[in-house]
Amino acid sequence: MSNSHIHTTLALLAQLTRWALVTIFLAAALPKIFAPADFALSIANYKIVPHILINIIALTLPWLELVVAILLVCRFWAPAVFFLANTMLLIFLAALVSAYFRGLDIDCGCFSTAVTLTPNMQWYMIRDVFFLALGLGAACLDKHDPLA
Amino acid sequence: MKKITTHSLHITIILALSVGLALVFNMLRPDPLPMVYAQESQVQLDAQSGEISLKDATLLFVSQRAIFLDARDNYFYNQEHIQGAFSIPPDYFDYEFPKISDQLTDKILITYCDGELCQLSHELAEMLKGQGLDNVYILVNGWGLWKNENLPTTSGSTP
Repeated sequence: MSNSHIHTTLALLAQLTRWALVTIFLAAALPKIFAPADFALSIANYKIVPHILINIIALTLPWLELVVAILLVCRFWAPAVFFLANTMLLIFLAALVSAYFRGLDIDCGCFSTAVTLTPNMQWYMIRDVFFLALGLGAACLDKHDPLA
Repeated sequence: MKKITTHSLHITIILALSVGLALVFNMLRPDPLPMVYAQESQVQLDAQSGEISLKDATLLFVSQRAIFLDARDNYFYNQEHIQGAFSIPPDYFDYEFPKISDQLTDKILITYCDGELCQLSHELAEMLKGQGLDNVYILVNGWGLWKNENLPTTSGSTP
């Protein structure tokens, strides 16, 4: 494989992972922006955050996700945006793992605020590991992005 | 070092922008979310049975979230009744209800009479539901339980 082929492949991968991240953050942000009370309940179910912070997080986190998604589209302030995106994904994963080991069987509140009758914590965790890998991959590949 | 400072500044701006957008959007919502999360009420209201326990009724009495409605005869009401309760014996419902109906909306209504087998509170609850009021609960043997615990009462023809 020639250098130009490698370069093209890496550029393509950089764009693909960045757009995948945009899709994830948009899909996560929009339903929660319009149902903050339900999202607050999802956060409360994790029993991690003090009560005084639950509503503030429920209000601001979806907007942070949306702002990060928009900045990823424009590839504006990329290092800061990738750092925030991956920090959020890491915190979400840590919260899920913590809930799982405390025996909580809850809705993850990741993409929807609707109540699921049979939440699958293991699936949520596997999915979040994949998202985090995607986020880290996107950050590492960013220098190959044609927009960089 | 300069890079780290620049990135930190960008992160701070993004966080501030997100918080600002969230607060403005929340203010513009028809039903803004309060800043502090309210825990679920400890009061257990069983809509199916339509009955309420004395503990829950007392909690609602203290927090002034409920209106008590005395279904007993006027004579007993005048002698002594739960503090703040209105008198509506089912036989005088059509006469008494219009006088207080304005005060009953958006409140939890608790009907009571005296004795385990007393049906007046049940009759009154049905009549209130017939007027389109949903939040109606019966404190079975309410007067007896209330007196037994020395909870606040008053006498006379007014609440």
